[in-house]
Amino acid sequence: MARVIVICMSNLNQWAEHTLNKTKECVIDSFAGPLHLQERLREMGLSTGLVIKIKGRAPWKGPWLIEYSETVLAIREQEAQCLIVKSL
Amino acid sequence: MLDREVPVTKKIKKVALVGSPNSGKTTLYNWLTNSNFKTVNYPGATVEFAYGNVNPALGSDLIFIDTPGVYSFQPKSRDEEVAMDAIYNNSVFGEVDGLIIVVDGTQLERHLLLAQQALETGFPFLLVLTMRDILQKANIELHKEILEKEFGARVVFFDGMLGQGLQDVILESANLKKTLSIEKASKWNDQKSEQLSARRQVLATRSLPNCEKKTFRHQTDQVDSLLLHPVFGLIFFFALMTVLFSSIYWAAAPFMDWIDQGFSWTAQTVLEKFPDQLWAEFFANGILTSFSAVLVFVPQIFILFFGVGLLESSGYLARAATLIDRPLAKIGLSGRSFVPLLSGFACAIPALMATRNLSSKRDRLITQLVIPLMACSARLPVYALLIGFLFPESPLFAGLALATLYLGALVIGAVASAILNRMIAKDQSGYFMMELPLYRLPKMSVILTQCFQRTKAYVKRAGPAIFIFAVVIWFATNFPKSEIHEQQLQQSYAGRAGQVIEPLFKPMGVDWRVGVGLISAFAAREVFVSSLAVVFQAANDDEATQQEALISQMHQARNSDGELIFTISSVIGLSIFFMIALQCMTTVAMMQRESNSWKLAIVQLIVFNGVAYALAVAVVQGLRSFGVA
Ligand SMILES: Nc1nc2c(ncn2[C@@H]2O[C@H](COP(=O)(O)OP(=O)(O)OP(=O)(O)O)[C@@H](O)[C@H]2O)c(=O)[nH]1
Ligand SMILES: [Mg+2]
Repeated sequence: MARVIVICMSNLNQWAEHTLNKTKECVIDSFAGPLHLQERLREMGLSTGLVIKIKGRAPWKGPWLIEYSETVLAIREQEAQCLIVKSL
Repeated sequence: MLDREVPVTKKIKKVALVGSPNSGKTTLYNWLTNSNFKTVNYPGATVEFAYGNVNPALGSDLIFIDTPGVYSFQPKSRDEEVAMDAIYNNSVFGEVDGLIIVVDGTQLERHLLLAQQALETGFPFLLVLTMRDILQKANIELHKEILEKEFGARVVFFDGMLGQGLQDVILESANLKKTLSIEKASKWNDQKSEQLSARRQVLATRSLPNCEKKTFRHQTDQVDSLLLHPVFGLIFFFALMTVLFSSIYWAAAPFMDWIDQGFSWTAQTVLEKFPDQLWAEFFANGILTSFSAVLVFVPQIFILFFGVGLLESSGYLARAATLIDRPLAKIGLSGRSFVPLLSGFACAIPALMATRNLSSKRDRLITQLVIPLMACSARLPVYALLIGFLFPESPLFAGLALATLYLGALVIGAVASAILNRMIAKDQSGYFMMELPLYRLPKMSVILTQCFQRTKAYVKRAGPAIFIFAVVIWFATNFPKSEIHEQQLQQSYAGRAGQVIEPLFKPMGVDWRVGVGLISAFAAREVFVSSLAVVFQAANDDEATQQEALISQMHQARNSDGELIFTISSVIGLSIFFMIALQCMTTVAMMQRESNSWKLAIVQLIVFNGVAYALAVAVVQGLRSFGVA
């Protein structure tokens, strides 16, 4: 069964990590956080049900690298937390 | 920003290019208007609108407007506001007559969002699908009729590399007709966003039926697995920066020698052919000496622009910004600050404008405030002269010293930004999301053209100041004529005025002659070098080139107390002064424009110069108290 990550402060720096399977893919379940960020994420082509692949992370716990729709987006932990993801 | 003088009448149709960042708008605009605006493989390169007539060779009476990239019609950063202003309420001609929605053909699913929004605005529009060459290379067919039907708009393919499709773009633009009233695009609620996103997915799948997932990114992904690697990626980043900044020194050396020899030969010939003629002396020791002192560094500046150009077109900048986001965030900046800071190494003016694509006002302000600390190309001649003085025989050490000065600029910038980070109240609007574009092989012809243009602009900008100071300083140091040759300088107008300003510069370990150079540097930093050349009478009477003559004069120069002026401590002091001082008035004016505050610009001017002076004095006196000459 799909497991939704509950975002809380103690879970910071762990975005998406629990959901990842071998192929490092997960699916966007919903959006959270400040509205302007949610809006921007949608404008950048992210939407619920979209499968994204987590390619890794920049050094020093820098931005996450996520792949979707023929693009790779670097996105900070804080902004990534606005994407509530679940495993495929 | 004006491309060129374009008569704007009501009748001429004005069509704006709107599209997601990095979709190829500026490339298309350059083809349409025969312009040479900078195209960069980095999302967010254009930050100002530009307009120009359609290339006369292509016929048709149209004005095209290039705009900064936007992700939607709801702006979230300054550059996006500029784009929206450019189409709705342009400062030159108000509202535009139609739009070209520029869509990267490899990014249909995401980029079609703007077409969906454009439908709501009532603007007539045409869809231009760029990157056709990439689709063709991957043997992918794009069924444009599906998009035409969906949007009720014409769809045209365009190949930005070869310009194929240009005529169609012009033809279809000329056919755009306003029939509806123009409105702002509405804010979508979540449900609508989801619906339209699903629709885009359907459209993308249908129009690209034989496109497998990840068709275009394969090679880019392979390169990224190395360049974004937590360890190797960082090593590569620092190695690349070191190579870029140290190569400026060694790669330029042979070209600098040629220029220097050319000037030296001309000066010598003039002096030999017309001995004891005042005008010949003025021409050789004033004008030629001044210009050679600065122009000799043009190859270094060219190499700097070339290196930055390579980085810009490769696609690496977005990766560098990603790699460095975390450390920058710690000191109040953002990964998005990286590109403005890097362009600050060429010139602060475009760098200040480039801050427009930072989403947070606070990040933008801090970035703007530290940009003038980056070692801009106008400082390069000054550093090169001072380094040439310290390491005359060793290009390797000189190169490393230059890299150290550049690194020093970064360290000082980091300290300044950390201080500002504590002083300025935090805001929540900042975010970092950066698309990583496909790597592209840099197109040499484009990079070289841009390098030549930028180098030419550099010379043109500094030229008048160098000339004026050459004339003024030569006359001021050569008149009134003294009976005794050795006392000429002391007795001259400049010498007398120099006694007045000397106390200000003495704590920095230098005399009034260097003071004159420091003051003249407020016209343009390079003028410091040309002023020194004239004031120290660095004309070559022997076999030495102008450059060698100047450095040898510097080694011998003594102040009125008979002490050497240029010593290790005073040269380090001067370097520190130049690293921090804000001497460029255009930067001050631009700072005012971009921050919208005179107060801020003036406080910055005073603080930077005050700190530069105080630190230079402290370092010189400190070093001397430790016994360093
Ligand atoms: N292969 C290929 N590359 C293109 C094409 N059009 C543009 N490019 C490249 O794509 C990159 C971005 O092009 P720009 O024209 O600067 O894009 P832009 O839309 O103006 O970008 P912003 O100003 O950042 O919004 C550059 O490296 C261009 O050389 C094309 O049709 N084919
Ligand atoms: Mg552009």
